Amino acid sequence: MEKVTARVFRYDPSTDDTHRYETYEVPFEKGMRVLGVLMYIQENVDTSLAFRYSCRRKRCGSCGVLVNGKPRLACMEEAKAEMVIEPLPNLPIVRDLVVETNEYEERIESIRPYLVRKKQPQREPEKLLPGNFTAVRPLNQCIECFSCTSVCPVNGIQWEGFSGPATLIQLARRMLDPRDDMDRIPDAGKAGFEHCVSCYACVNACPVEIGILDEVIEKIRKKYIEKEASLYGKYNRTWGDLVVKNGLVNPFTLMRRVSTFDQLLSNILMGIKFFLKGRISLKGKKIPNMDEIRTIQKVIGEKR
Amino acid sequence: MKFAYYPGCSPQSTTRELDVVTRKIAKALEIELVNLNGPACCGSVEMRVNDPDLFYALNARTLAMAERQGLDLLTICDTCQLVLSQVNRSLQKDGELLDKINQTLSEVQVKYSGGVKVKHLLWILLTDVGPERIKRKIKFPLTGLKVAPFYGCHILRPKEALGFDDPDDPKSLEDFIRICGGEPVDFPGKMECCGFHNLPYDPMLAVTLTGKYLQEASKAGAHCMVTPCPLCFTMLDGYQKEANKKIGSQVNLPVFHLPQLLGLAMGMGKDELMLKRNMVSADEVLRKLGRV
Repeated sequence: MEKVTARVFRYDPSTDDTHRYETYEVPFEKGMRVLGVLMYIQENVDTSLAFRYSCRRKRCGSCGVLVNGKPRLACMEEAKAEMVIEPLPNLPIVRDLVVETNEYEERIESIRPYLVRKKQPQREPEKLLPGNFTAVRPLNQCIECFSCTSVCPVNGIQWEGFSGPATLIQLARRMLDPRDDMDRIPDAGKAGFEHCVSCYACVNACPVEIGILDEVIEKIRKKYIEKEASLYGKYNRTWGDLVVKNGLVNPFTLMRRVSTFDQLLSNILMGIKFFLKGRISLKGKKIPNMDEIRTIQKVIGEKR
Repeated sequence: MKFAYYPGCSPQSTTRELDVVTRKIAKALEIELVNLNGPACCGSVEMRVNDPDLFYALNARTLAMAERQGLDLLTICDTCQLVLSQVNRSLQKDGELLDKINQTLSEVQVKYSGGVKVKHLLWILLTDVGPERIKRKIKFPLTGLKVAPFYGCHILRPKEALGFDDPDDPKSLEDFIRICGGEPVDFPGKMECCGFHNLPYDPMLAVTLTGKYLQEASKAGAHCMVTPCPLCFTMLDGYQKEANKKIGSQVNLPVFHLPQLLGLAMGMGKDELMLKRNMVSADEVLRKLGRV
């Protein structure tokens, strides 16, 4: 590869009516990253190209861009012969590849992303056992690049009340820290954790490979349903109850048991249509060997 | 070719047609589906939060049933595929966890050794069966039919657990549509989440997401949509009217289960494919194909 052809998104909201793409040819150097391509363009071709960067080594999280439609850190992503470079989606554009993250940073601030300690340690230096921090350690790797935010479908439709995966990581960091004394459950509710659709888009996009669903959001869900009587908790428990009762989950029974009275009322017409199509089974199917499920459940209960 | 068959919950209730048509196309392609003796619900992401011990034990029990038969497991739902793959991977990698689960399962004389592969029907069609063998059974290629592929999220991500398609650039569903003779239509939301898991407690969010993808596919010129997941199907087909109402669109896009689309290309009729159960009528598609 001798050269890189980069099609770069250009837009200045203060002067341009709409965005455009400009194509640049950049001499390729061995080991070249996307950031190197952008720096070459800015230094040699067009000084007005705007993009963010700082550490150049995957620590600061400021150089996130879309490379051929996928969120990537410009400092780490290898330059390819042909690339389309665009700003991260789901975030307002400041100029060219620079996006505004203030709103999401404020959301992180709102959940008080710091340790709150009511009791001081018994002695200094405080003794910390590594085993107590296994859940928190991977979350400390978050570099706040907002790649997760940029691909989250719920952030994409700007769903009111959902703070997004980046906020939930910071919340879980404190919630799971054994030194933290604050009740974080109200903040979890305010951050709208229940609006996560469990699609793993954030997990796929995270450059530092945080298990955002399994290690963050599901941990928040667990703590929340243990303490709060919420519709989400009812849904979650009902699912388990139906499995233990029938071995299978009949979606109609699940909906009927979880939905609020208003929801049921507004769904009556639809329910009739589903029923007429034979899509609703009033009596849920049961697996034949339920005794096995009950025995397994009993054994697990005894072990606890 | 023989597989242990795991239909999951939805195809045994709200999307019964998926189970029935899967069995029909399997028979036509000489895939033997072996019924297991009462495998339980995979528990989805919900049970993993609420009761992880039972969640692992029940899925290990299902995997053990397939192992006892000496067969790999065939799934027809994205979420079942993901959950069983994740549990399988954890049990294969973590000997301590496997021992703990087996200890519990020993009470019901079940043991799992980690020897099963979990495969979605889509993957089996493309690899184990193969395009050539399928093409030989295609009597009415879906020529001129523009089909929007809706993968759903749990057949693509996370890659470590699934490992079939590239989650950033999947090809399998498009390949499948081409094998059936149709033309895949690209649209932004094809790899996104339908919102099904939020439906019971967060219905407005679920239908808004669904509406967005339906609108995108319709704008891209699709005549219909196909999905490998009964949960996505429930949203895209069953809640299409609700989605239109919520986002102010007027999409009328027939949605097919994976085996329904294949069955159509293989020459099966409307009744055989149980298309009457689909909430959005597929008649326009049948007319386009000259099949009415």
